[in-house]
Amino acid sequence: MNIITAKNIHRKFGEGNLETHILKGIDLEVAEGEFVAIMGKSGAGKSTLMYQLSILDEPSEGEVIINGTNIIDLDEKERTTFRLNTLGYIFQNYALVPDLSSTENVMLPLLMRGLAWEEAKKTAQEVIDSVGMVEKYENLPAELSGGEQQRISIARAIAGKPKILFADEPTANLDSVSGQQVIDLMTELNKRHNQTIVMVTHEREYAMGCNRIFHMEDGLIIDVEVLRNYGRGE
Amino acid sequence: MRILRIGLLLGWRQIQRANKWTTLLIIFVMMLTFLNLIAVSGVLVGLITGAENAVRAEYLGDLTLTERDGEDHILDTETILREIPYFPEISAYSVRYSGAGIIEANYKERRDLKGERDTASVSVTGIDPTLENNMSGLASNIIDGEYLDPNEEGYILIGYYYLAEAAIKFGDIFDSVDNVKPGSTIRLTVGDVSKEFIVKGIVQSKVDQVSLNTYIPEREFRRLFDRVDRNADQIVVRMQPNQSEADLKETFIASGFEKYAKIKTYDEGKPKFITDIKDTFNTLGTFIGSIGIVVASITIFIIIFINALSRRQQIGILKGIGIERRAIEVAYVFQSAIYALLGSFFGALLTYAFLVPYFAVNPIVFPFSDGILVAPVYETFIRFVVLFIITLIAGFLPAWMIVKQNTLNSILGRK
Repeated sequence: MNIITAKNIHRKFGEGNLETHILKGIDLEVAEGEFVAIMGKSGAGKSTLMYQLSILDEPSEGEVIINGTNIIDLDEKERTTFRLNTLGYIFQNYALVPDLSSTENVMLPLLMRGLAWEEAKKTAQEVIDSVGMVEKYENLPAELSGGEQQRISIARAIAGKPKILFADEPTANLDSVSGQQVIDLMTELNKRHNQTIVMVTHEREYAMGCNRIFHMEDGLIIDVEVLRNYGRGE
Repeated sequence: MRILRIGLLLGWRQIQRANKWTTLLIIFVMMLTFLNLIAVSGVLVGLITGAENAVRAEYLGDLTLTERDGEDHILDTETILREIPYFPEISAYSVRYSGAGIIEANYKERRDLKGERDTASVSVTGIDPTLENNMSGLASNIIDGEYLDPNEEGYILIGYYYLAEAAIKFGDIFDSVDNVKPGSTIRLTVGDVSKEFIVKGIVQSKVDQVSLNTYIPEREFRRLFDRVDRNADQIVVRMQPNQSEADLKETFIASGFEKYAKIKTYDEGKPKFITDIKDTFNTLGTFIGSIGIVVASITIFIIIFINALSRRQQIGILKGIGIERRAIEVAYVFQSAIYALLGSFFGALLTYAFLVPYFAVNPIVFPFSDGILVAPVYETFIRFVVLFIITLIAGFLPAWMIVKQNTLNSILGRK
């Protein structure tokens, strides 16, 4: 069953002579539980595509259906709620709130979902444990290494058990060891918890654990590389 | 509730992790704003209140009895005076006889009998020196010479404004006599009767009714003004602390004093223009203070704006992961609220624990008043509420401006 369906996605910026056509008609489907990577050179449109799929942005044309909901129909508040309840995000710069401890960073979306403080704290610490950051509950982001911050970022993304996890170049700011640890963690999430993951990456070695790789060039998907079939009947 | 909880968490942690000196500076600015709001109008009103307090302390007392409408004097004064000493609420009182006369100075040295005499029209008040001093502390207002002795006759106290040296300072708007000092002999003329007095002392006070007056013992006044009925013009009463003027007035009425005199509490007796001036100064002070509020609100606006702008990407990410805009706005409004609360708290502490008591003991010396700092709690509270609300708005606006920006643009740092 497809959890993401994108049909004829276009994304343009600017108007008239200044118009830039970044996405030029993308069709894409991702099955539930699948781990896919989007790869391509800089300027190929891979991050822009991910922003459309993760409803951080709105396509100029086309439609995106996530978990049965056409996101074009949602207003801003509904989108925020949809992101909170359905999607998880991992950003390349970790994007943790610098004033909050690891636990509080992970608690944020849980509190927003209405969990009581103690319940959110307990859940957050369990998730932090699960990403291998035991005993780092009270550390501020500045007190953690890049790899550790990204693990907390992953913990925050998965704490609410999202249907889909979006990762925008999660290893870009990490050394190779930390980068591999993050990829291993995501792969484990996918395998153990059947977590659907869409990852944008530059580096092929980090995409090798995915089911499929979408190769992009000049705003189009030019190739879909199947590494491991996942429920697609092939 | 969720929004409030997250907003408070984000806001409180930002304050906790912020640079301590910056936070202290902001709170200091808020404290100064609060003080500006309270102190400017407080000093302006205090200027009048200081004058008012002086009038109350040195002239009118807490309760005043004067002649009834249509009468020349307080009727049956002796009856009233027999009873007054027995009211436990009263700590002091004075009986005053008032009249007008002409004083003449330097007549003994005058060589040219056709030339202009050195005279001045004056108010004359007959007093019992002991009672008057207990009531108004008149002796403490002697700036030269001595106070009247109850056992002496033939002495007079002259108000400073009747001296030529003082009158010059006021543009000679008062009648005055020249070269008069303690020991000088002057002649007081009332109608056809004249009597010679030796100047015992010069009286000066910031209460005009004291400085523009002459005082002689009541026995001599009665003789000079032919007031054989002993009916006085004014009885002023000082009350024991924490007694109600209104209650004492009711007691006087119940005692039948109203048949003989008009009874007024201080507030009833004081001129309306004093209240008008106080209200005007209060408005003026509020206006000047409101400029301070505008400055403080701009300060808060800039602080929150820079704070929010520098966290624009973080705000975008918070929105991206599903944190509602309102929660992020609450965080910044909460910070503003904390700054306003702490600033106002320390401002109020300084005002009531230090400034008000300090200026009560060490008034600001103005030419016509010893100014104190007046800061009624209710008015202070109202000003605090105004400051608080404006600060919240100043905190909300920049947060709202930043938070409403496109989420992805914020995340990517795009304009």
